[in-house]
Order: sequence, then structure tokens, then C-alpha cells
Amino acid sequence: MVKTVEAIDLVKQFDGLTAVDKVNMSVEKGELFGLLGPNGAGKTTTIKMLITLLKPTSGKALVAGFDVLTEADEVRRRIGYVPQESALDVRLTAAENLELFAELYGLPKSEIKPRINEVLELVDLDKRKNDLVAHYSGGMKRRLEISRGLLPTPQVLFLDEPTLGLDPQSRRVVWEFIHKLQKDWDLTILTTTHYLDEAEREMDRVAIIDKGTIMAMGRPEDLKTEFGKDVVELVIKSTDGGDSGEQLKSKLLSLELGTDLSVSDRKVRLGVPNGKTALPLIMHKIESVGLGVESISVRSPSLDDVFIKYTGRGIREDEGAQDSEDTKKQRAMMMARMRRRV
Amino acid sequence: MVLRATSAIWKREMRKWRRNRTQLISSLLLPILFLLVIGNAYSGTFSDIPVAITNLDSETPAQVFQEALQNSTSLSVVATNISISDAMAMIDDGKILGFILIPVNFSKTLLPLPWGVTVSPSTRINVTDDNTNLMVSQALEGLTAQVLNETLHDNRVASWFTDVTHLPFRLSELSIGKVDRYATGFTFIDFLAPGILLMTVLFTSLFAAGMPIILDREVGYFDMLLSTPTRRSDIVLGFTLAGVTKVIAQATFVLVIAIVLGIHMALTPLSLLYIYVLATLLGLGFVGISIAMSVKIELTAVQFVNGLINFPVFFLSGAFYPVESLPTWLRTVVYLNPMTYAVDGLRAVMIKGASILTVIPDVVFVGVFALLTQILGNLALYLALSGRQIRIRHRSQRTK
Repeated sequence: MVKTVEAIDLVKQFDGLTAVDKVNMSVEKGELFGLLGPNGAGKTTTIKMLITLLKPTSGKALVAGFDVLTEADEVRRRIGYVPQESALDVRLTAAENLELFAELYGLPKSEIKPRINEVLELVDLDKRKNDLVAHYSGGMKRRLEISRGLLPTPQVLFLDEPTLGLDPQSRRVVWEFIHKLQKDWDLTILTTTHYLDEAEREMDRVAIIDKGTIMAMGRPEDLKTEFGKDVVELVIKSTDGGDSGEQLKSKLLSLELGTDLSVSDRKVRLGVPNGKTALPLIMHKIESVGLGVESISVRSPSLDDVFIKYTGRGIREDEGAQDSEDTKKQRAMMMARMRRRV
Repeated sequence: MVLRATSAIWKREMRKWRRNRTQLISSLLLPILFLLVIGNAYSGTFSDIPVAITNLDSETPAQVFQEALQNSTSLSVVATNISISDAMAMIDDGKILGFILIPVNFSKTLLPLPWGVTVSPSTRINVTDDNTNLMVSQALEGLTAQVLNETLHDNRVASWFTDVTHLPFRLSELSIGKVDRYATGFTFIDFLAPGILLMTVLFTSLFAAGMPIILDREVGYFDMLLSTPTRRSDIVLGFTLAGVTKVIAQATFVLVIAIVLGIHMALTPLSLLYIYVLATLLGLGFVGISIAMSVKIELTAVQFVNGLINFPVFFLSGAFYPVESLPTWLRTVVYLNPMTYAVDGLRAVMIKGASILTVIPDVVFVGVFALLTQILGNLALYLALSGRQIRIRHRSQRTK
């Protein structure tokens, strides 16, 4: 297999604060690869190094066989990039938006018009190419941005949070187009997301990244199998009252109910080889230490379970209120430093 | 084709500019407002200044003087023959801005000694004015002197003099012969017009190039531009040229307004060329500054920082108020201000019709300024980009 993107010990520090810490990964030709992690995990920083917008502090990265540090221009000629934020001129039409980038990518003059039509057709926007982008919906804007990334006929397409802020229906449409591109163009696609369901459903391979480090990498199915065969979720009755979360956890751990046990409030989650046979035993063990079970269920594992196993918390917990004070402070400091640089 | 990226960026900026109607209209309205409001407000002529007059002299010259004061269109006499304390109260209440007292011996001071009295401070015309209103206060003194001068030339004063003294009346006054060097009828608007043209250049150029870069940087668009295989300098040049184009368009618009308003101008092909060269160089200079700033400044601070530059550059240039009215320490700033030279050169060529040769030093100074700031702007951006550490936006603005 040909490695289209390869990162070796990639490190990015901002004034001593490490945003990306020795990332090693490779994406094979034609693969749809996802960087999966909460906000501030280092996904965007990693992508920006790969597309030559940020200089790595140390380490090496090759994109389409070229070094991002020493052969930046060769890399830029072979990549398409769709940034996280909507970067479109709303006072220009779709065609005018694309025209600018066709020129910047240096497409031959005669090819510009047919090429714009071709990429717009791909994302189903050819009929609205002369409309001002101001009149586009969020999903249409995203598709237009993806089509812009396709203008240079890239070997690798970098999609930073391609479905962020879109409604579920638009999200599905955007993914359909991404899959079509991957298949029809044999395109290598590197994307970031913090939607676990999308990563699980849409991606060939994912890397779970947290605090700048890759915690696990592989096909979603494999990662789930690694986690354990079944997931048992149960809620402990609150009648006893006295136990704090920590006490409850240590009490449950001593019962050796299964693997990867996590406790949140009175909700308990753990992995077992076979859910059906494990349930009666678990019930029995819990009741034997004087606790009651309010409800219990068995399901197959999701990527969320894998994420919690590697990072110790759910991906959503990192957004907003449940941020630990440390994480918040660290992120604010890092952002301030990034800003000061320019 | 060389500079394809540059022309593509230029085209984009022009399209954005043309389609942003609010911005376009307000940028066209500003110079008109400035010309009409400031041009008329500070023209130096006054009308209907409210005053009170008390005449204690019943002789003819005093009567003629009072009449002339009452007929002056610059004054509006709201009360006559009131007591000094009443007049002071009226000034305090803001009902009048000045009080003119004609003393008892006013007429007699015109007579030779045997008939008249010695001129003493008490017999002078006494003007008490509201000196918190500085401009009106100065104008009142000048107006009173002017009306007094007219009074002395009145035939009734001469015949009164002859009646009393049986001598011919001869005024022994020293007068200044004022000759206008240039065509008569110059107004303050004429003086102001070149300054307004350059003010428009200043305002436009500070916003025209840096602002789009800052906006692009904040929404991640600049990253998009940089992720393409384009020379960085081509991109910056595109923004610069777009900025200068906007400056030239604005300057043309102000020129057209000036013609419509009938402002005195010496327009020849050569003077037009000079106007455009000067406006373009000044524009380039401030575009350079705005590009240098665009590297660091956040969108929310742009308005403030631009104001910080606009204000002193415009007011300390002689564009609006003569340099001669400033204290010495501020004049140093004036002489370092490129705007000063642009205004000086433009006023000479546009209004006075001076020869281009005499204003070459002005254009050279502005040219050097443009060159230096262009180097500064490009260097600042180059340094920022060479580290390839264009600021990463805080957090996505998309709604989650």
C-alpha cells in the first residue's frame, strides 16, 4: 500500500506548550481517515502542519511523497483544503468564489470554466452557480467549500470538521458526497471530527487523539472489538445515599464484574465477553454487597466506549461546562500564544 | 501569465467592494458632508450675532454709528440703551453674546482740541463680549472696528464736523491696502477642498487594504489563500493594488463633487496628473501602514487604531486649520507628517494653479513615505508568513 500521508514524531509547541506531541500516523492511498478527538485535542494543529500552514517544532511529515518543510510548494500543489470555519465570500457567486481559487491554483485559463462546472456538478450545485453565496444554506456552503478543495485535482483532501454546525440531514448529504469522491476519484481524504457516530459510520480508519497524543488507531470495528464483546450499562439505586462516586467505584471494582469499568453519578458502564450470561452474575454480585440495581441493559460497544477507555471521559464532556479548570486555562494560554505569534 | 494570482485577488476585492452598497454609499457621502458642513461652518463669516447697544452720546456721529451697527447683517441687536448691569446679566443668561457701549464723549473725541476732549481710555468704544465663545468674541471686535471705520466715512459725520468747527473734515487715518494675489472670491471651501480630497484618500487607504486582510485572517480565509501554491508576495500585491484602486476611485469622486460645487480649481491635464500621482502615493503610503497593522490587529480594534492615526494625521497637516495656528512643539509633528506635504502640494496646484516644478519636493517627500511604509507592510507580513504561523482562529464560529 502507498502511504499518501505520513507523520513521524510530529511535534508542535507554542512557547513551550505542547499542542501536538509526537504524532505518528500514516494514511494510505484512497483511504478515508479520521482524526477523532475533543476540541483542543490538536486535530486542527496537526492538519495545519500537514498542509504547510504551520511549521512543525520537530519531527517530519510527508504528503503525497513530499516533505512539508522543505518541499512546501510541491505539497500545496497536490492538496485540497477545506477549513473548519466557513471561508467564502458571501457577496460573490459560487462560480466567482471558485474562479479566484482556480487562478490561485494556477489552472490553465482554458480549463477554468469547465473545471468549475465539473466540481460544482459533483456537489450538485451546478444549477445555482450564479447565485450569491449569501443566499446559500449551511449545507450548500459546505459543499461549495468541498468543491473548492477539489479544484486542483488533489491527491489528498483535508477536511477540517466537514459537518460542524450542520443539521443531521445536511450532514448525511455531505458525507454522501465525500464517499462519492473517495470512490470515483480514488481520493485520499483526511478529516477531523468530534462526532463519534460519524467516525464510526463513515470512516475507514480513525485515530483517537487527546491532548496532542494519539491514544489509539485503527478501523472503528477493530477498536470496538478490542474494547470487549459487550457493554453492560446499569444504574445503581440511590436508596443507600451514603456512597460517593469514588467509594462506589472502588466497591464495584472489588467485585471484578468486568473490564473498563467507569462510573458517572450512579451510572455504571463496563465491558464483558458475553452480556447475556454475565447479567445474572453481575446482578447477584452487586446485591451481595447491599446495593440495589435500578435498571440494567446490554448492548454492543460503540466508539464512544472506546473513546472513554482511552481518554477517561466522554468526548462531549469536554465541551463547555465540564471542562476541568486546568484544561480551560491551558487552552486559553495556548490560544493567546498562538495569537501573539502573528 | 505573471501575476495571475495578483489580478485574481484584485478582481475579488473589487467585486466585494462594488457589491457592498452600504460601505460604498457611506464612503461617498463622507467627503460631501465634510465639504458642506465644515466648509460652511468655518468660513469666517458671521451673521445675526445677538448683541445689545447702549448709546450715551446724542451727537450725530454716535447716532450714525449706532444706526450702522443696527443695519449690519452680522449683528442682530436685541436690546438698546440698557444699563451695564442688565447687559452683563443678559450675557450671563446667554441672551446676547456682546454688549457695545458708546460713551458720552464719543463724538467729541473726533473734534480738534479746542472743541473736543482729550482721548482717554474712558472715551473708547467699549465692547464687552462672551469670551468663552472665542470665535464670536474675536469677530465682534473686528466687526465693531469695521463699522466704526464706515461711520467715519459717512457724509453726515463730515457735515456735523464742519457745522461745529467751520473747518473741512479730513480723516487722518492709516489704512492697509490689501491686494488679493489670486482671483477674488475665494472662500473657505476652496481652501478646504484639497484637504478633503486627501482626507478621503487617507480614510480609504487605511481601511481599503488592511481591513480585508484582517477579515480574511479572522474567518480562516487567509489560510485558504496560503494553502494554495501561490507566491505570498503576489497575494499581498493583489490586496495593495485593490486598495490603491479604491483610493483613486474615491479621489475621482471628490474631484467631481468639487467641480459640481463650483470650487475654484485650476484643472489642466498636467495638474490632474499631479493630483492623481500625489493621491496615489499618499494612498500607497497608508495602505502600507494598514497592511503592516493587519498582521497584528484584531478586527474589533481596527476602528480604534485607524481613528488614532486618522485624527492627528488629518488635523496636524494644515488641511483643515492653518499650520500657523499651532504651537511650536506641535509644528514638529506637522513637518514630519506626509499629509502636510501632500496638502501643500495639492493646494498649490489645484487651487492656486502653481507650476508643477515648485511642488516637486512635496511629491518626493510623499513618495519616500510611500516607499518606506510599503517596505514596512510587506516586511511585516513576510515575517509573519515565513514562520507560517498565521494566527489560528480562537474557536469555530459555526453554531454547534
